[in-house]
Order: sequence, then C-alpha cells, then structure tokens
Amino acid sequence: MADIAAHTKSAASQSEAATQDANAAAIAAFEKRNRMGPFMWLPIIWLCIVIALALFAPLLGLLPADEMDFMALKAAPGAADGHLLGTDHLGRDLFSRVIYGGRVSLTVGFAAPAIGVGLGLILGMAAGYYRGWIDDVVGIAIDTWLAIPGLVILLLFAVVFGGSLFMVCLSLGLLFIPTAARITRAATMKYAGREFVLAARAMGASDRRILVKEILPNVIWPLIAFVLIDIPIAIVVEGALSFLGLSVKAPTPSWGGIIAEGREHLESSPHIALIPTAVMFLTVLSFNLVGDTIRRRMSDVREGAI
Amino acid sequence: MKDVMTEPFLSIEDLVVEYPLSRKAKVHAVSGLTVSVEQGKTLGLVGESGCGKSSAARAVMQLPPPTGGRVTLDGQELTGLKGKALQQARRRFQMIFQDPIASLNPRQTVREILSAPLEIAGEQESPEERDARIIAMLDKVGLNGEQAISRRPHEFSGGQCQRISIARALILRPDLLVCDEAVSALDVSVQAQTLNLLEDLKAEFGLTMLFISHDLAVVKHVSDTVAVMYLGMLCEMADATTIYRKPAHPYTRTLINAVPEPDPDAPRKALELVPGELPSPINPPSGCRFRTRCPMATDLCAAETPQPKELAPGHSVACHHPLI
Amino acid sequence: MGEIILDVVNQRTAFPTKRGMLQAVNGVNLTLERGRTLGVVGESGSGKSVLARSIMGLLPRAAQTGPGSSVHLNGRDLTALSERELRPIRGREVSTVFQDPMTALNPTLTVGAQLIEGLRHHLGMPKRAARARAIELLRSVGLPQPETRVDQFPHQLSGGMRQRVAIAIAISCEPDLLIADEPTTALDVTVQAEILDLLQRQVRERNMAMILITHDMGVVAVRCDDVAVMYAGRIVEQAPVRELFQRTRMPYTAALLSSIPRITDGPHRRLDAIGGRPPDLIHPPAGCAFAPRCKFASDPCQGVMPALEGDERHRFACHTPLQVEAVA
Repeated sequence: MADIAAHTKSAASQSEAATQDANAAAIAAFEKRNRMGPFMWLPIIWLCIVIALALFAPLLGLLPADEMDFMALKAAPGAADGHLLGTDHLGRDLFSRVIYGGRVSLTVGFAAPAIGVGLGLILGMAAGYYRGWIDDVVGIAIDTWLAIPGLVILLLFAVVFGGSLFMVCLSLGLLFIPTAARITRAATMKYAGREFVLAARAMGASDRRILVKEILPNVIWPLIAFVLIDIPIAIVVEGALSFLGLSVKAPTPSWGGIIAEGREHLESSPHIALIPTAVMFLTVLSFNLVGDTIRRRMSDVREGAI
Repeated sequence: MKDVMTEPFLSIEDLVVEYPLSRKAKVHAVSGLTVSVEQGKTLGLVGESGCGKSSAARAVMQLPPPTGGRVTLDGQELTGLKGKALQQARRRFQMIFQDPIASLNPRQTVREILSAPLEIAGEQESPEERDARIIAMLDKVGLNGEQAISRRPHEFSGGQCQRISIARALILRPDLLVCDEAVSALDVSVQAQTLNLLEDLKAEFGLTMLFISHDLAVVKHVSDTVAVMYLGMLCEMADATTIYRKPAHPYTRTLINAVPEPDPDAPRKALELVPGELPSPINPPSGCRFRTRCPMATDLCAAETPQPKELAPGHSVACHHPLI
Repeated sequence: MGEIILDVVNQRTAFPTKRGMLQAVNGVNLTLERGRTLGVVGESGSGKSVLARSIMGLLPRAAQTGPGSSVHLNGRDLTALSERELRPIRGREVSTVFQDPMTALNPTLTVGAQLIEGLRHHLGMPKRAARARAIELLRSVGLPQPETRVDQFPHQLSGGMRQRVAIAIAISCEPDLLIADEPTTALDVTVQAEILDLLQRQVRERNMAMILITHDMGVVAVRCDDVAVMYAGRIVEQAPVRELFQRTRMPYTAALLSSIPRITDGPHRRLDAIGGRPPDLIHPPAGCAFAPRCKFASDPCQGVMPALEGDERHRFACHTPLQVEAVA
C-alpha cells in the first residue's frame, strides 16, 4: 500500500497538466452547447423583421394591398418599377400583400395559442387544484371536445360565423385548450402537493392566494414551452384555412390566401405563390428553432440553475 | 397521577384519520391516538413508515382536519374551527417539513417567502418595517439576513433552505411548532446544526413542539416525552430517558435494537421481530396491530385491542404482555 | 494479505458545469481484498457515490475521468475497456445494489424473468435450471414463498422485498465484488437491519468483497471491516473499523462522529455541530478542503494539500492529526 501511495504522488503531478487540458476541453464543449449559434440569431433577426414589418405596415408608406396596377400584371420581382417583389395576377403589389398578409397570419399565430392557453390554464388549474367534481367535469368536457375532429370545428365556425379574424383566432384557440388544460392540470397537481403549498395553507392562505402566488408562477413555465410549439402550428393551420377559403375573406390578404390565388398561375408566374410560401416557411421554421432553444434554456431555469 | 396537574398545552384526544380509497376500502392512517404535551415541552412521535405519525401531524395542523377526535391548543379546540376563525388561530401553530427544497417556492425571493405569513395574518406595517422584521428573523436562524432577503431558494444549500423554512414558521411567533421529519433529509453535520438551532429557538420563543421522526436517536435528543406508534396506533409513551432504557412494548424494543450505533464495540442486539411484512393500513390486523410480527403474541392479542395502561407515572403502554 | 480483487489508482472524476469543472472524485486510491467489506462514508457531495459509479464505469457521458486514473478488477484495467467489453464483467465480476430498488428493477418484467435473464446470459444456464436457481436465490435472500414470488412484478412487493430481490439479482452470477450504494437509506430501521444482515451473510458465504457506501456512521461501525472516510472528493482517513473509531486521527472524522445524535445520550444534549459549509468543489481551497471548518487548522493546512499517509493499517490526510495514546 505504501508503494501505491508513492506511485500515486508522481502520477498525480504528471497527470495534473493533462487533467487540466481535458477539463478545459470539456468546459469548452459544455459552453458551446449553451452558446447562441447562427441557428439562434438568424431566426431571431428574421422574426424581428417580419413582426416589425407587420406591426408597422400602415406607417411604411406601402402601396395599398388591394390597389391594382393594370400596367404591371403578374410582374416578376424587380421587373416593374415600384414593385419590389412583383405583382399578382390583378397587378397588386406582392410586397404589400405579403406584409399585410403577415398581419393576419401573425395575429392568428399569437392570438389563437393565447386564447387556448389562457382558457386551458384556468380549467387546468381549477381541475388540478380542487380535484373532486370540478376535475371530473373538466375531464369529461375535454374528452368530449377532443372527440369532435378539429377540422369539423374549424369548418363549423367558418360556415356559421363567417371568416372574421376574431372567429378564426377563437376557433383555432379552442382547439388548443385540451392540451393546455392537461399540461396545466398535471403541473398544478405536482405543485399542489409540494410542501411550500402546504406551508401556505398552514399559514391560512386562501385558495385564491395559493393559486395565484404559489402555483401560477410555477405552472406558467411548461405552458410557455407549449405556446412556443403552438405559434407555428397556428400559423400553418391558418395558412391551410386561407388556402381553402375558410379564413379571412378576400380581398384581405393572408399568406394562405395569396398562395391559393397564386396556385392558378403557377406555370406562368410561380413567384406569386412561391414568395408567400417561402416567407411562411421561414417564419414557421424560425419560430420552431427559437422555441427549441428557449425551451432548452427553460429546462435549466426549472432545474434552478438560472 | 397527581390531581393538581398542569393543563396540557396541546392535547390530542382519540384522533382518527382515515382516507377513503373507494366506496368500500379506506386507509386507517391513525386509529384513536391520545397524547398531550405541556407548555414549553417537546413530544417526539416515532415510528416507521406507514405508522401514521405524519398523518397525525397534518391532523393537528388541520391540514385537513381529522376524521374524528379532538385537538385542543391552549384551551381552544382547533377541530371544528372553520373559515376565518381557523385562519386566525393558525398563527399560533406552524409547521416545518422534511424536504427543505420543496418547502420553498422556487419562483419567490426569500423576502416574498417570509412576507407571506405576515400578509396573510394582515400585519399592518410599512415595507421598511417588514424588511427589518424579516432580516431580524433570518439573523435569528443563523443566516445573514441582509444578504439572504433578496435571494432565491436555489442559491442556498439544503440546510440553509431548512433555516428559511424555520424562519417562515416562526416569524409570527407561534406557540406550537410541528416538525415533520424536519432534519431527516439533512447531512449529519447540517442535521446537528439544525437540531441545535431548534433547541435554541425553542427556548427563546417558548415553543411547544411536536417532533415527528423515524430516527430514534434524533427524537431522543430533542424530546421530553416520546410516543411510539405502529400502524396508526400508540404503542407506548414515556419520558425520553425511560422509554429507551426500559421499553415496555415489544415494538419499542425492536425499534431500539434496530438502530445501528456508531460504535463498533456496542453489543449487537437481536431484532426480536417475527420475519414478515408490515400489514396494510387498509386492512389492519384485529386486536393489537403489532401481533403479526410480535414474538410474544398470544390469542388474546388477536381477540382484544390492548388499551394504554399506566405502568408508572407518565409511562403508559398498550400491550397485553408488556416487557416490564 | 488476501487476494486483491480491486485496485483503484488515482481515480479522478469531474463533471462540467456552468461555473467550471466540478471535481467530484479527486485522486482516490483503494485496494480491496476478497472476503472483506470496505465502508465508504461521507456526507452529500463527498464523492462517495461518484466513486462507486466510476468503479462500475456507469458515469454519465459528460463526466471526465482523469488521465492517470485506473480501476483494476481481478488484475484487468476496466478503464481501458470499451462499453461492449465491460458488459460481461458487470454482473459477472462486479455488481451493484442501489439505494432505490425500483430504479434497479424493470417494472415490466417479473422478478423471475429478471433473475433468469442474467443467469442465462452470463452463466449460459438452460431455462429450467435458471428458474430453479432463481427460486433458490430468492429463498437465500429471505423472500417468503419464493415459488410464487418469482412470478410477481416489482410493484407487488414492499420496499424491503424489492431490495432483497435487487440483492438476489446482484449476487446471482456470483460476482467477486459487490458495490452497495446506500442500500438501506430508503428503508425503515427494522428493514435496514434485516437487509444489512443479509448483505453481510451473502458476502461471507460467497467470499465476495463488498464496498458499502453510506452516510451513516452507525451502519459502518457494525457492518464493515475497513472504513474510508471521504470529504470533498478525497479519502481523508482510512483504517480498520475499530481502529478508526477508537483512534481517530483526522479532525473531520472526529467532528463527524461527535455530531451524530446517539441513542445512548441523555435528552437535550447539545450536539457538537461542524460549523461552516461543505467546500465548493468547483473552486476547492488550495490546501486541506476541511481546513476552513477545522478547529485545529494551522498555516500549512490552508496552503498545502495533505497527502493520505500513515502506516499500512491507518492512513490519514492531515497536517495536524489528533494525538492518540501509543499502542500498548
């Protein structure tokens, strides 16, 4: 044993330097995983541009999205003066239409998950905290709601209420409720059993105080992760609805609508359909990439590291 | 017993806690527990998992109120209090829990955590006064109050989190502190610090304590009286020295013999336990609940539930065949 | 000296974290002979469980093992082996019992299926013989009615019974070394006593070596032949159990022993708590890691790391060891 100890000492000094190198490499690898690469900042830049353009569209001095320029029908991008991305078959400026269409797509993208998550949060917290008959009723309601195909609900809303932007957001939002409510219910049940909630009850805290101050700040995190997944889904579904003519009515532009119109002229002027498709593709992809990164960071937050 | 006896400060009479499982089955967590504690004393409640000690603690805290029986604190019956009256009474009895991390809301700062009891109790004070009060309390539990107040739980070690929990429980100066396995999750060195702190605070605040633990050595250290529970029933109760020196209930003896002593020369004692499983609290054995594992069990033990008998003043045992 | 089964040389294990490398195990040397039980005690963060996992080669992918580290089991360097080459060694030569038996058992397989799989895979037993052997193993670990229990699922058993099954699986292929990582921490005291009895008996009967990892000095005192006390990733004192308890040299060991509440103490005795906090393993102090909390610390303790020295029987890492009266 004594010779082992001696052997160790020399080995220790030799290996010290090597250990440090290995450690430095491991730390570098660890940090690289957490650093923001181009897959983080490129999508962020793209989203900032798209959102800013949509938000400030009326202030940008764009051509009206429904103004027809009969001098330049189906102009290719850059072919006609004043039409950066060209025009469609009615001579409407595609740049304006894509931006104004983005207003519709992004409104639905944000509002539908917000409605769904908002209502799901209330139902899920009530069910998960109070349990008992409230839980049963919410559970049955959600199961019933899920038994109706989503497309049927969307079609019903479109037919009955017509294609107003609010109704599109609402009908899509309602489809997000079940998952949001289930996530919230599970998280609420998890936290409602934690000692800090018990401690609050031991102090005589009201249910409202416990729900708002103790549980809500904890269950909101998994929901944010859920919203990040829902935004691109809502944009895609709205696109599909527009394509089918079940979203906002023409001449109000939306990405799906422009694509649908451009489809007729795919052979002669592919740019009419391809430009909004590309914009939508990049936007959805960006939301997904940013969402993934945020969710990965949030798991660190939840572990208490941040 | 003497006629002139000090009125117990906390008295638990015939406490019953049951949880329904289905229409037919229920868990008999506590089945008729009667114990009491005098003011300024500590009652240790020991037993293994499933013995009902934590259920009893929750029932004392009215979290939720027990299925049956009475809990009286300083002359006021807690069982039966509702709504506002219960909320008002709550400032007199507080609790600390086993898991120091889960006891604190990870999303709140220590300021928010310690403000909660003050806000709920409706204490009227300026934010500066409140901060000063919180800092003073944090200092009392051995933390640097000035630094700790604006931090979040994850910045503290387990032992420090438990100190924050203690500060939260004591900031309204309660009379009764219920500790449910409060040091069980802590490392030995931190456990010793926390036990010393609890003893100091008990003296300073004049606390009466109900100390629940599975660790007999820990319970012996802090308790004046020790009560041993098995499967929802009280086996034996006596002062801390007596119960370890002269256990009268076979289960108490088994528990004591099972504790591994940190001394290689300590005599190894046999467990004196019939091998087998802990019976289910859903369908507990008839008569004495320990009889299925008791080496001394007879037919009488199955037929009749033993009632607590007083062997000596302050030493009672529920056994048909006590060891002394 | 008996046959040396395990020889760990200069084991270093580190994990990358946001703040830097966390040195969980920092230069541990161990040898273990057949038939002996080594207790490894320490508080959380002492590196005792990481050491066990390092020996088993069961570290998370991010873990870094020091370049000078080696683990020789039966003369073969495990650190040089690939995951594929390690697989037949695990279970056959070294096996583990974990704290939570539920994580070690597969909830979707019966107890028997899990035992039989190992027996057939490692020992090449035919199915019928393996089943008979499984029942025999379950009986030897004290599982009542092994003939019926063999076809039950883990969730049908109590915590103590599950740990018995986990032990049966661990010893099924007659390993030379058994590593028990806090095997009784999740169990009640009476069950703990039974499980420790069982482990001790199995080690003796099968002439294995065992590493018993625990935070409980009481468990160590009555169940081990030798004890290694760990602090901040290092062994700070190592000796046969009686020697360690009676002639403690390292102040940390002494402080740990005196901070334990004992059942033999009178009520309300003030405990000798260790002041301060465990060291930061990412930026450990230059000298002795215990120095900031040590009553006896002097200048060299702050700056120079004490080596684990002493005679063959009793080694300790301390510049200011406690004095004990000379051996008669």
